[in-house]
Amino acid sequence: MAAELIFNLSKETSKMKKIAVGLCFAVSTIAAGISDQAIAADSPLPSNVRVVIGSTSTGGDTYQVSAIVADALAQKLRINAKVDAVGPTAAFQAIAKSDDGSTIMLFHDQSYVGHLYGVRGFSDIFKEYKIGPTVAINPGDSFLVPTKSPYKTVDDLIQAAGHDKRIRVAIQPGGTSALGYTALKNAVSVRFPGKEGNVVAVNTGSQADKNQLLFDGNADVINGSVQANEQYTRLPADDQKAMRFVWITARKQTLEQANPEGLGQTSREQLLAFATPAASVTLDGTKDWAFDKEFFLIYNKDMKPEVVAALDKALAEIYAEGTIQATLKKSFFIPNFMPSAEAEKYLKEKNDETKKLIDKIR
Amino acid sequence: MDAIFSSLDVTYFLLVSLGTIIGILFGAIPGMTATMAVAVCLPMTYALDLNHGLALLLGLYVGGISGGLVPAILINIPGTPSSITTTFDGYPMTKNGEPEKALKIGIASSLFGGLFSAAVLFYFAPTLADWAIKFSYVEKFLIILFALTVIASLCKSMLVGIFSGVLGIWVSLFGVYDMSKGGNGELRIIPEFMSTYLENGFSLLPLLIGLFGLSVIFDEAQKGVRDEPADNVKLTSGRRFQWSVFMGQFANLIRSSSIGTFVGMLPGVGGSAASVLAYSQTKNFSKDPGKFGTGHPAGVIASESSNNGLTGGALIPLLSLGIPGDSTTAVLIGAFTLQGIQVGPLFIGENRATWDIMMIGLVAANLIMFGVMYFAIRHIAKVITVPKYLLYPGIMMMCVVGAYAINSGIMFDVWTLFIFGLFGFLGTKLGLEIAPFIIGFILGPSAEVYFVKSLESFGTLTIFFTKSPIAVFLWVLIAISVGYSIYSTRKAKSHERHAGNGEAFAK
Amino acid sequence: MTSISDLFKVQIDFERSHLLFPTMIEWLLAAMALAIVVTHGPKWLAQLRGASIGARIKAWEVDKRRLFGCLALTPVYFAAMEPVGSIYPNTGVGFLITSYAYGFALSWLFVRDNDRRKTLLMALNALITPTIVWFLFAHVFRITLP
Repeated sequence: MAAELIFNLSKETSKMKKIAVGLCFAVSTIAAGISDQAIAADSPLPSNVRVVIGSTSTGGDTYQVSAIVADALAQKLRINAKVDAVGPTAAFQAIAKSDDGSTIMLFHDQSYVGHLYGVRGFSDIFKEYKIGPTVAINPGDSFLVPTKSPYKTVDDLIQAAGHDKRIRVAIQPGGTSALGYTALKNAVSVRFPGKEGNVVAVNTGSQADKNQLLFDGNADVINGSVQANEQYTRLPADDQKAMRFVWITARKQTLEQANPEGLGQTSREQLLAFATPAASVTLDGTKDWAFDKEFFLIYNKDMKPEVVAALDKALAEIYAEGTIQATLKKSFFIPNFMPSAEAEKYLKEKNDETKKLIDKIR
Repeated sequence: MDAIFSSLDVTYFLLVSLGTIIGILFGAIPGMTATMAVAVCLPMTYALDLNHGLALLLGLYVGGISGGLVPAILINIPGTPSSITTTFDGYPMTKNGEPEKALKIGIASSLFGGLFSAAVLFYFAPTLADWAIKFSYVEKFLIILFALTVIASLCKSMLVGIFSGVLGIWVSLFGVYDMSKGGNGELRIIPEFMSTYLENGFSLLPLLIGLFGLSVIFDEAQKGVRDEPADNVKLTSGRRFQWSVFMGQFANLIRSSSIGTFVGMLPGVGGSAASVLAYSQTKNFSKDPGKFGTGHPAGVIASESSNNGLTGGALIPLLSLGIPGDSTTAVLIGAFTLQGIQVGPLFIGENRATWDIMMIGLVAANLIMFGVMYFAIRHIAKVITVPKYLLYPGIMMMCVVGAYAINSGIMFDVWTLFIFGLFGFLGTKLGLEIAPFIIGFILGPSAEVYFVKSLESFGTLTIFFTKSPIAVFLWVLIAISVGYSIYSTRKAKSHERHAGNGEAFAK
Repeated sequence: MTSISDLFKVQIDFERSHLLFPTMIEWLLAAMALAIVVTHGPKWLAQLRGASIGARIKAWEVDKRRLFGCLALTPVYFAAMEPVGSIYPNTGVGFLITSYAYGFALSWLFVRDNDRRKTLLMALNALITPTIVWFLFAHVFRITLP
């Protein structure tokens, strides 16, 4: 501790030299800190950028994508970029205070889905904030049943619900994982009108809790992810933990871009068998419902246009170089860059379509 | 085997050492935790390969958990939530002039707990993981209830202690019913206009260091910040450390390490419960429970061996189910996924070399932790000779850094420090007991989720008794714990009556 | 027999499930408070009658200058941090500058029998401690500070 150091030093006042050294150290470090400001003066972006994310987990997919993107941006623009996992409410509050680009947010579809489900703390991001570029997709969102389950496919589940069997689906309420549940319910209502009440949500939290519900027999099907559950699907059938994929919610053309090795010992080919059209959850009787979990930047409403342009340009160059794609794909993300104007239009449409689905099933 | 030896180079052990030392630093600073140490160093591992990255992170984990004992013993501020119980007997030992002895006991116990849990992890991980998943909502609720009943054996006045504990639970429920735990995201207890700051309630760490750190500074300020004359603060005026202090403590070491490992193994129960359970069980089994709280080495041994027992325990579900056992291992998952390694039920079988290397790293980190701290202790202990007018501003700044950093930069967490500093300062004057309050606060949210979800899933109250043999066994433990507390309070009361008047309010 | 097991049946409405546990805890809290008043109340009343409130507060020996000085300085320190920090955002300078001032002020408030040596010590401590903390955490470990 510094206080102790100083105290002991001062006992021998002849050692003023050391104190002087300490002072020089103090002054020089401050100078170093301040002079960081000056280096990147030619870029409209501040030299210290904070990337806040809508998740509090530093082990989750949002943090991972953010770390990869922030790192690439920092190298490209020669700035410091730091990812802070503050959670949705604090992240929105932070960007609301910063219009010079010193704080930007990275999050996924939850940012508007939360609002559509009426979750506290989520406002209409298309009105209150500015949408930045999209960067990547996590195609791993999936639904699983125990290997011993009588239901082998997602169609079995829909059929069973249509024939008055109660299907309990473990999800985290109000989030992107709840969307799959809503879509499943919608598919039942399209194919067996009036029977959608047989699909019931078991509201729970972490992946651990969802798995536990399946082991306990308190859920028939759980929401999970390819990343977290793939090994469970390879356990011998007599293991109480063994599971089977029935549905992967990502779009076919997204999943097709994954590395052919897929994830773990499950190849891309095998994964595609659980996505549309092989595993069909209908939206309206003709078209299948599919959903990509997309990551994008969110800015302050009044963010300076030159900063927006600078970030678009930097990301466009990063994606043109092509190394970020390999990094993303290695972690089972699908690179998906769209500049901010295009991203805003695209996400707004996605928002409106999702709103229709949620309003119908409410 | 070749893969193992090619990774076990000098760099590997240097990284373990570096991680351990940085971890100890984070653990020793009030408000900084092992989780934070792992989180801030995670980006550094991008440049390393998996085995070298894990070396650094395992060192950080072990060092961070161990470092918490230093401020707990020396200045009565737990460096991490799991070292709360270390203050109970560690700080009294310092006051008795035995800071060095207390630190050495703590470090040696940490080493034992760490190695014990590493051994359990190595030999029984998959078996124990299969057993751990038998704990559903119901059993987890009962474990937490069990941990809550130990409040009764930790408090001075039973009624006031339980009141403080319930108050702690109540405060922990402020804000929304957390959706990420399966709640419905609705606000309760606090009014709408406060939801900007209190939507997610108070954070544990700022609350903890407010109650233990700031309130002590306020209390000293009230008394006029008088430094004891320098002669009184002798580092070794009491008895010196001797290994013989562990004589007769073997049962305590094994019991406490096992409790730590076991609690670490159950995802969602919360690591801080481990040291609380271990401390109170040791007290209950002891021949003279009256000595606890006055500087009894057995208290430090129980607390520290159990919180290091956590490390191996929390790695069990991580490496054999892909599910983190505590908040620190939740961050470790990130290190695996960034390297493209999946953790799940097949991890150990498919990554034999990584698994062996991790075990070596874990053992090495524990040994290095012991070596570094044991020989640095003489210098660390000098902190207590620093005059308070220089020490307190420094502590205050560290608390601010820790509080601000805990949720990656939220100013309200710094205000939480102040609010609970004041609360602790005034509360203790009114007889409120801080330890039960904080235990209630820590366990409250999990108690709620597991209680409500049990009823939601099963729809009947009887399920708490009929769910499984494990549930029945836990009820037996709860009954023994409650019964014993009542018995020992009665005994203490009759002692008191002989001695004369009691005191509750006139503190 | 069904009537007995029916007695323990509960139906949880998810929409209202956020109130169940808090309500139970509030009742428990009220019950505990009542129990404390009943058991300890008479003793307190006797003590209150024994001495006036003013005398009791005096018995606490409050060092007004140090206590209220500390209680005033700390919120000012916290409140100043973010505004000062917004001069150079995301560099932690807000923490650094306010800590210099606060560190010295608190030492000044707490010190007894001040002399030149102690003043020098306090100034050095107030300068070096925040600088080391800031350098280590904001720069080496890149923790966000105000």
